[in-house]
Amino acid sequence: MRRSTQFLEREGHTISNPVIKFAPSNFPKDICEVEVIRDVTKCISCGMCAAVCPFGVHERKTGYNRVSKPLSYLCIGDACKDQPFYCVDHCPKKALSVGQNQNYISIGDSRWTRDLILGTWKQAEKGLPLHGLKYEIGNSGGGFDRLFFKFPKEGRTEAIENDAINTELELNKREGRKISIRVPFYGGGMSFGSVSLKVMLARAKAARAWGTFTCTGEGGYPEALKPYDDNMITQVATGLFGVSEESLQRVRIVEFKYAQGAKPGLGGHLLGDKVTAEVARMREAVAGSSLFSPFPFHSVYSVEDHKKHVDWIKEINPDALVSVKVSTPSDVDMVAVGIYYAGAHIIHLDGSYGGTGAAPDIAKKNIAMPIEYAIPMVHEFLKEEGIRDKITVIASGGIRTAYDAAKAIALGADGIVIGTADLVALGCVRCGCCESNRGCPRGIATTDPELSEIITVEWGAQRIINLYAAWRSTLIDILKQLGMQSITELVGRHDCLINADYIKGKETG
Amino acid sequence: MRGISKALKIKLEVLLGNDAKLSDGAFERELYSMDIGVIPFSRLLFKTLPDLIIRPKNIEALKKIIKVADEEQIALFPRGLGSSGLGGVIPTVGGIVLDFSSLNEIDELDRENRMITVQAGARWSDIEKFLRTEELAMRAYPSSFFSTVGGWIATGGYGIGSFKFGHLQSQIEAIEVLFPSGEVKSIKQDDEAFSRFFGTEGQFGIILTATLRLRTKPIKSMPHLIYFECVEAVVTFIKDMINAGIEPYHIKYVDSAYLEKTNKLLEEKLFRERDAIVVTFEDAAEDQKFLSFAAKQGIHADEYLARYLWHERLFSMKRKGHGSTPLACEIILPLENFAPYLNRISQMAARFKVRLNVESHIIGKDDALVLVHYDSDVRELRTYLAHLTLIPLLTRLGTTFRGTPYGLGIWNAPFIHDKFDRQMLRCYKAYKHEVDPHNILNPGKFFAARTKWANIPGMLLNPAVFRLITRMVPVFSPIIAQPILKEKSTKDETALEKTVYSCVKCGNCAANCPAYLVTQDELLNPKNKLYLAKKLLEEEEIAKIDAEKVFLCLHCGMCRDVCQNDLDLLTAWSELEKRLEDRFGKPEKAIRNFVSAMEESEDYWRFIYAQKV
Amino acid sequence: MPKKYSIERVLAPSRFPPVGKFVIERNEKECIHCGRCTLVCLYGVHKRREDDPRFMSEPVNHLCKGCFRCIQECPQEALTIKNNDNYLLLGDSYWSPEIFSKIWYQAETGSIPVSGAGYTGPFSGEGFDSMWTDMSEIVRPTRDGIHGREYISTSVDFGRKVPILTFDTKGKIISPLPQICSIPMPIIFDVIPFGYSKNIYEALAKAASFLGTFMLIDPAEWFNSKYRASLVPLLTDLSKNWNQKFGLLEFEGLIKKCKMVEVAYDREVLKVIEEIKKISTETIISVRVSFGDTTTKIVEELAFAGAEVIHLCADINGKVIDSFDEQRFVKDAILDTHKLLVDHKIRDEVTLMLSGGIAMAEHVAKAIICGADVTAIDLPLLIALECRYCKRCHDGLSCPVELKALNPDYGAQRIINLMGAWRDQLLEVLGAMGLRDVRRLRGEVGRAILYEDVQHETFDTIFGEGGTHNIKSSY
Repeated sequence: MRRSTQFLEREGHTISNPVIKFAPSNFPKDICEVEVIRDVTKCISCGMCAAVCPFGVHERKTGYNRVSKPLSYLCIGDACKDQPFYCVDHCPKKALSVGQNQNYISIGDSRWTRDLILGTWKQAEKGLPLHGLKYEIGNSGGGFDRLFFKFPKEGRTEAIENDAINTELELNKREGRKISIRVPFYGGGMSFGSVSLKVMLARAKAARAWGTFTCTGEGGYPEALKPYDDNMITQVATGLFGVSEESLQRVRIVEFKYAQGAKPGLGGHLLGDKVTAEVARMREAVAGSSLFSPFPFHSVYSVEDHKKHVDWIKEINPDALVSVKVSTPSDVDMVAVGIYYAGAHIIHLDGSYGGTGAAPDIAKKNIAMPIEYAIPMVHEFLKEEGIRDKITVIASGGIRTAYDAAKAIALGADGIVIGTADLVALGCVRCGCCESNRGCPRGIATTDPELSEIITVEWGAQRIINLYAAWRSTLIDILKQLGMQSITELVGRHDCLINADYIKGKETG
Repeated sequence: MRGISKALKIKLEVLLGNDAKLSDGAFERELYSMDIGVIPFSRLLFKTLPDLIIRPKNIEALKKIIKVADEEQIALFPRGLGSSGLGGVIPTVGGIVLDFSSLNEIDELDRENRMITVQAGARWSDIEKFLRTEELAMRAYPSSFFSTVGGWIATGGYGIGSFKFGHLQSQIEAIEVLFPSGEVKSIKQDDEAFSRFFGTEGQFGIILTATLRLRTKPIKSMPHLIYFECVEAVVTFIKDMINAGIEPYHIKYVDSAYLEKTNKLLEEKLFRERDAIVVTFEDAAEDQKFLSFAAKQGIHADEYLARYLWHERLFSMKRKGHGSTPLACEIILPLENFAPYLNRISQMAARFKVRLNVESHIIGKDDALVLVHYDSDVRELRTYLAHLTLIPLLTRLGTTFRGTPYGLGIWNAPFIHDKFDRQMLRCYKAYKHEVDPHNILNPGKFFAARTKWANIPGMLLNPAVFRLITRMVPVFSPIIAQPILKEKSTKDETALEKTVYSCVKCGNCAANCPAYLVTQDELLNPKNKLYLAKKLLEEEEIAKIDAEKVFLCLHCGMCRDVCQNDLDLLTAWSELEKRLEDRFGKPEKAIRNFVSAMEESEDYWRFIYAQKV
Repeated sequence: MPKKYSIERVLAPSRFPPVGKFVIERNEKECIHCGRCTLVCLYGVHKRREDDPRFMSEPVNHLCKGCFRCIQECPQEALTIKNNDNYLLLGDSYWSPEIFSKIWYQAETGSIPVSGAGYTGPFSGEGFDSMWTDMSEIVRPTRDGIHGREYISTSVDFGRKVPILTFDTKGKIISPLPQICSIPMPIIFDVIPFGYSKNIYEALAKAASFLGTFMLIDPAEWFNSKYRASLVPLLTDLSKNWNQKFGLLEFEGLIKKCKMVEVAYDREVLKVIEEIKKISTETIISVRVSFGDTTTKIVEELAFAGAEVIHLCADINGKVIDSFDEQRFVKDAILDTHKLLVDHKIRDEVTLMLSGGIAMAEHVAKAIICGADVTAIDLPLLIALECRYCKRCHDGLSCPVELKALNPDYGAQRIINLMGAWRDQLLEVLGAMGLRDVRRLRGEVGRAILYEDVQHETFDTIFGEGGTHNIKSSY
């Protein structure tokens, strides 16, 4: 019963993909790129626009004096210009125009541009992949944003059915139980307290639907997640919040967190306001007092100490895979080798530009190196040591899109971990207020009872399921274009990438 | 008929508890003594002030009320939106007004059979809003879109879509009626008694619910505007079209005066100022048929102009506004008499020196519902009274062209013989006696107007006497109409004055006012606030307690979105508040409580967000 | 262990509404005063009007965090959020609006800026932005300084250090020991570039004195003996007066009073130092040298001549002043200077102080990694006092934040708050590196991950050599 999905997969049965359902924004209004502007001094409310628009942007409501204000978020924008139903052309009084939405301009930052945020929302809404450079890269001017795929002109495997392209990833390359996930990514650790239980449940539900994992973070293992044990990773971090033998035995993967990319060298932060009674109970702490996880593991001062840690887990849960999450110091390659020799199955590299519930800005910006450098460093070093095929390398920290994921894999990772993108799917705008007052104004990174009402588990799960579906489609498309049939073929294929900084002379652009 | 004693009032209060809202404030009673008609002398003729207003919240309460009323022989005047002008909802002998606005629930939607059961107080607009997401639509609806289902059953029954779907009667599956005996009966379309409840203005029973037949939501409406040289050509065209087997959803006629005013309103000469019809299809195949049929005939206007007029179908009073009081006559005419009638009335109007506007809904192969209206100004009382006399003349003339008045109420009661033949009338009278032996339902009108003063003034409204009078008036009309409406200077009118005297009291605003929705307080109804403003302007007495209610308004401006006359209500509210503040001060605490009550109301938020799909 | 140093912070709210990142516009024609925005905003941007709650008051823009809730919940779409032009116009390309808002926040609260979500800025950048600092993991454990679980020292020393100590047979030190003085954090206050007024000096001096650090001051402008332990007079144009002899006499009293004085470099500087030492052997002398192409030579010469402190200055934006390479940044200049002294094996004997372009706490840490012992800051002090760097005072126009009317006590508190927050951030960085003393960080270039280096190391093998490093974000 417990391992049923696992069994089916091993027997060669395919499980059908999760159902994609339309899951629009949970707020009454959506933010969009375009703004449909009606000049009310010219408009006579004849309703021609309402009669021609097939998307419901314009409405001429029965019994009302005037045409309703255009619902810009339903407008398809520029794509409409050449259509026979373009309202601007049909307006007899020339009262309509389509411009750029002001709200759209103010959203986003250089890492997560407005298009990446809105693009993730769209994918979470419809489950369909998006095309176009603006949905592929951000505007940070470095790292993934300067990397592009070099698709061969010949060799597209157009003939291959999408279903025949394998996106599965085997997480255990050592002896022992095999655990494969259907998509080469899983959800990163987010503790109860940093996010609401509903968000945890939504992520867990989505993980189960896609046959992958999500992680509890270090805030304990709420009982409500019990049905998802098979798809949960539980975290042992320096605070040891909520860690018990029982919780370690429930799961198939245990993750050691040495550091977190966004605040390497610092422990977890959960500021007092977010330590509600419920959270405090789960963490065996006092409500209302800030919780700072200590740093580091004071029991670990050497690789040998680390091995003791891993052995301890293996003793408690012999079947479990052990993942070790580390940040990216300059000697990350050495760390990786040490982790392998200590007996871990997965090394999880968390780069410095990853998300966090709360971290000092100085840490997020300045400490440790971006994941783009750490991946090839570790990949190459493990290869030199002859152990690359004995350990799974998972990367995270600043992976925003399926393109970033594919690039990370091409740089040398086996798979990736999703954090912020999950939350953006749930409506995060990255305002960065996760830590303040009652927490997230959008009901995600909060345990405030009223605010967490904004999200429902069903809706949230569907949004993440949709996002994963879109990501998977994108990955399949990339593989097809590269003439590959499996995601594992892409690992470490530097040659598939070009770096815009390395293009000389006129080739640029 | 008896008045209501204090004891009885208390008895009702105890009996109804929370199931109904009772009010008997002086100002509120005054509000319920009127409909949209402005008849200056009505108060002299009838006891129009009700003793009590009851707003039942459920049908049980209604049953209790009718039982008491029947026992105590107290007159009941059921009231929907009150958007007719014939006095059908006006009390004649005091008594109780039954306000249906809280009985507006949608009971059941039968998707399979495409039927919906609603309470009588439900507005047509509510039903439309409800159906919007169901891929279903109403068949026909009244041009008074925000009026109630019960109201239309009791009064008219012809409106938008009547060409295709006929009279309201044919689109109602069943109604539930409460009789004075306390009995509730469900009456189906094929029951013999069914038709008796249509257009009989609540004489026989109180309609509780109606089950409406629906249709699949049309993809879109396709209106066409065609101009004609003369009315005769219009009629010929319509006849030919009918003969060609083309079935539009709706046909509306407008005359040149109408289009002239429309141009004036738009401040641009967009429409040709001549006779025209808007033919609307909601079925693509029929539309195609029509296009090939009509290609050769008439002059076709641009589509957007047709659409403009199509959306204006629910705003028939729009262009009468701005400082004037509309007067109107509604009559159902055989199509073949349409042109002659129109020609005759324009001659008559010339004698009164008024400019008539004519609009008409073609309501089937043979008939047209003709709406004749013209502007006057109640502030010029003598002229207004002269103008008022024109209405019965227009109606009388219609009857000579085999027309029947659309409604009766009080003011058309003299025409009852023109509406029903002798046998039918006898039958109705007998039925009335049977079901309402104490004549508690809407008495003093319809069958016969009974006035105060031992009905002596009412003698004038006796059909025979009235007929005589209407014959006499045209002879004297040039004399009567002497004090012709002077072009009143409106330059120094304030926004409030302009608004107050332009309001046609259609009551659409009430349907779209969140404050009214949440508080259910009649004094917060925008229409009624304008009435209070009118009293203020005319220096009548106003109680502080009533004045303070005016401030309970969020200034959201939603009233304006549905105002027939597109009046600048927000400015009017500010001015009104300013004037009242100067006189009574500002009720700070009441305002604060009001705002928090609004924000705490779930109905409020549901309403606010339902404004957009 | 020295006495634990901690900086007490007191909330010092801004006198003027700060320039916020966003502007919310309410379309009065569309607004239906439903009040939804007031209910959904967690930050108090939207309020009903005090005098008449049926209407909405103007949005309090600087409180807006850009969460878009009001935008998405307004039933009428009557609200628009825009980037605040005034915010975007703050400062210049170096002194970014973000620097201003963070300094304001720190000066007000004394707290370090903490936020959720990931880093939002560009991947890399110019100057200090082209390096990351390294951290420790597993085998080089970190230190937990910030929450007080371990003590990390941020003290630094001024003065000449001897390369070796000689002891007599009894174990007593017989080498002559030079004067040394310590300050508890590696930041001193440089002369402020503009905005001179008595109360600002007063505020700065008070803060410096409270913090136990130094403040450089032009004695001709202002000197208050009350704070003399913290004041470092900056003596300029000495050689001009040199020929007239005894040019120093007018400063004699001052030199005797102060722990340290700074003299501007010129060719005769060694003579000046000699003369000052004659007046007071106990006073430490710092030589102020503008960074330029000849700086290394000067530093070399001074170091070998026995200079105690060398203050290397770049311009306000951290650019080297007298150089052929206009883009040369202070970070690279100090790295080179440091390396040169290391090569000469004399680095430890002299104190290097760096100023110019130090705008954020991270710049202090990075400057120290690159070889500075201590940093001096200027503009952040004024920004802490709400300065908008509009330079109106340059033109004799009125100050938008009325700096002349500043209460010195309040001003001092804002600066103390800022310094407290900066020091905490320094502790975060030191802790992450596992260092317990900021002196260990100095010149620890192994802890610097330089963009150019890491890009070459990891990407050259992948993408071929010769990658360009034009990091520009058009955002």
